[in-house]
Amino acid sequence: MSLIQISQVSKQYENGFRALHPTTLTINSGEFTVILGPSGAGKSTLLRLLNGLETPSSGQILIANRQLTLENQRRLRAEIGMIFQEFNLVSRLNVMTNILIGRLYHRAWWESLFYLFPKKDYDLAHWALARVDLTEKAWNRASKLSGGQQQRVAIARALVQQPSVILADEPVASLDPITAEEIMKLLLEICKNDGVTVLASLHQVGLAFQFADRIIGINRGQVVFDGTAEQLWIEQDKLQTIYRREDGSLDESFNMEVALAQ
Amino acid sequence: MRALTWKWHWPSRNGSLPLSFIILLLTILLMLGSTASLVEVDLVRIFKSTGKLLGFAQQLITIPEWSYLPTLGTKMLETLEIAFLCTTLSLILSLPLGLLAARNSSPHLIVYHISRNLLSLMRALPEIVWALVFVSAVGLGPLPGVMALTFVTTGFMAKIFAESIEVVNSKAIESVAATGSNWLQLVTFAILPEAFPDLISTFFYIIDHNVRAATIIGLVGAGGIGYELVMSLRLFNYSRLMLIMLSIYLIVTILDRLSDQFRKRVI
Amino acid sequence: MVLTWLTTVNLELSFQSVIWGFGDIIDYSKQYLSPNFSEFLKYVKLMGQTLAIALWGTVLSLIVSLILSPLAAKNISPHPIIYQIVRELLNFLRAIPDLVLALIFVSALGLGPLPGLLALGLHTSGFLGKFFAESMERVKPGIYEALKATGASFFQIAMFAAWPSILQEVAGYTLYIFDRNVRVATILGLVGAGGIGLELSATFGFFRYDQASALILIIMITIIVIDYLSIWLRKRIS
Repeated sequence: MSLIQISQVSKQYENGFRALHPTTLTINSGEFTVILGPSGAGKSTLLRLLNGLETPSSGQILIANRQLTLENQRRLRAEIGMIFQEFNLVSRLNVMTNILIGRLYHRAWWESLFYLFPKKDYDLAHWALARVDLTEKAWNRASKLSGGQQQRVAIARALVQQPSVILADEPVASLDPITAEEIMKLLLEICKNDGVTVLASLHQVGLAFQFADRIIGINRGQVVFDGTAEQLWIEQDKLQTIYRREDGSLDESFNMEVALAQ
Repeated sequence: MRALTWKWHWPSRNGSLPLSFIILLLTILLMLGSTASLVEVDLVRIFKSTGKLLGFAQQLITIPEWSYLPTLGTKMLETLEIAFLCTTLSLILSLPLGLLAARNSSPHLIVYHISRNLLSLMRALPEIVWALVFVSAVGLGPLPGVMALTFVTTGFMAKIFAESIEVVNSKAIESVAATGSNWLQLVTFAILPEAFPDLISTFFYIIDHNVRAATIIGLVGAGGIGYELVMSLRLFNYSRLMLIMLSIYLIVTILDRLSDQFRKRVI
Repeated sequence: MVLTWLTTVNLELSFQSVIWGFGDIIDYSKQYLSPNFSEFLKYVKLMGQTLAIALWGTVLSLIVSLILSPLAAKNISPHPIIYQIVRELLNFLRAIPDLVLALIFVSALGLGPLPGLLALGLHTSGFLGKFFAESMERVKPGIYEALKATGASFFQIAMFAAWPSILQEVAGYTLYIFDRNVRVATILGLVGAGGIGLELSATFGFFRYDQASALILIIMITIIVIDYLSIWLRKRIS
């Protein structure tokens, strides 16, 4: 069942840089999809187009058969969780408040003025905290947490939105390999147990092979591969196309990662 | 637990607002409440006077008195000249004072303490108070204004200089000191060049401040546009008043933008 | 140098007269050496009023800038046109000197501290609004994006991302503005807007330099004490 339909979507920035060439893709519900490519390939742009953090230069995006417009932008965003490479927690607020931020769409302006949340939001937040295994850190300041813990809080913030899909923009790029694997496992678990579609961008081939149901390879703004991890494993030349630079050489993140994967 | 019986509560461990926040809020409210009568806060009065204010604003919409422009021009020039002169004068005065008042360049700890305290005394009073003092000493005109402004800005500038000199990389100072140079050489070759960008941005900040101050010292008869402003307000000469306020607004805004630009370029 | 000389000539300043009149100046300053504290209680009350004006002015400007600054921060402002309008409004408030504003309010509201605190509050909200907006623009853009991505509104982004991130700067700037307002409140009386300034200009009018000296001393001591207090507080905050 298709959840997100992207048809002929492209993005050209004001400075003339073409981040994404016209692309048509369908993301299936319940799948763990990885967008793989070297840095600067346009993975981030593709994800940010989906919840309107970027506006497409052309083409159409449908999320659960609804088009993203200025009017329904906030409602659709509330249904889409997003986690970032830099976690992006509000460092002065405690973990609980950071998670409750995921409920803001459902709160009236006067509730936000006084920082008030109803009990059902707390119940959700406690459930999400338990889900990411951070119950004992609920009242700590976000800045006091380690990188991996901060990313868990960010995942919990996305979870309380009760999203149908979570967009993960390089979720493990600023974490050490062991923590990175833990975070990826957590995302996979959320995808498989809670039925949340996960769309993650990565630049490490190893993690993609390990976790992805489906891999979309992007290079210089164009989709160059779309298939399962097994298919990519067999078609090694396709793997090289993903990481091929303009001058024909391979991106440095590639060689290292393949070595790790084998 | 009481908070939990309510539908909403706050995202803190006990569900209520943090104690420090409550104390801060209560203190401020208490202070405001206890001083309300002292400052004669009266919402009814404010509300009633909105009509008056609007009437005032309406009167400002008149045909400006164009023949007044040349006088306005000379007065505005005088204001700018006062500001400029005071800035350069206090720049000259504050360099040696700043060096004496910085911990790492002062020749002696006692000199440091004396000059620090002298500077804070100079800064303590607003320039208009000094202008009052100097006006009654040397009479009306720009001279008392220049004296008052120079006095206060020297205090300001020397303090900022001293602070920026203190944060100058002490390694640079050590390396020059290691060559066996004396205090004056140390200052000219190690401390001043390092502190230069700070000094420039200070200079712009001060010129900005001085133009603002120069527009108002005329209120006590110490030269500049302020005197004209008070007179035209007292005489209900709104066609002049509007021109004066407009010119003050323009000058200050232009200066604000210019110093913003310069600071961006330097830093 | 040349410019300095030209301006000196143009302003018809004669620093010679300052130097020649040095003896007179010493004579003149001698009059300040015996401050007359016979009306000390009245002065203290006036100083209290001055401090109250500064406090109310600061709180007023804090409230105004709390509302305006998120609108004037480029990266969260709901619309570029709103951003431009609010920025211009803040510039305008900063450009009109508070004494001039006080003059206008005095002619509309009558004499007293109320026009003074309104003038202080409006003028300094131009400063605080600009400072806060610039602090908000320095917050990591990702934090705003994270809130936007949850479907939060502009107001919620201001409440949950902008303000908590710049809390420390808010406290520092507000203290700085209070410090400044105390200074300005001492002179508001010159235009009839309350505080100790009216008394000060009256003593000069009657050539009562002994009383002027006492007033100046009280003002000086208060300002220095407030200065040290706010430095101490700012250090504690950071």
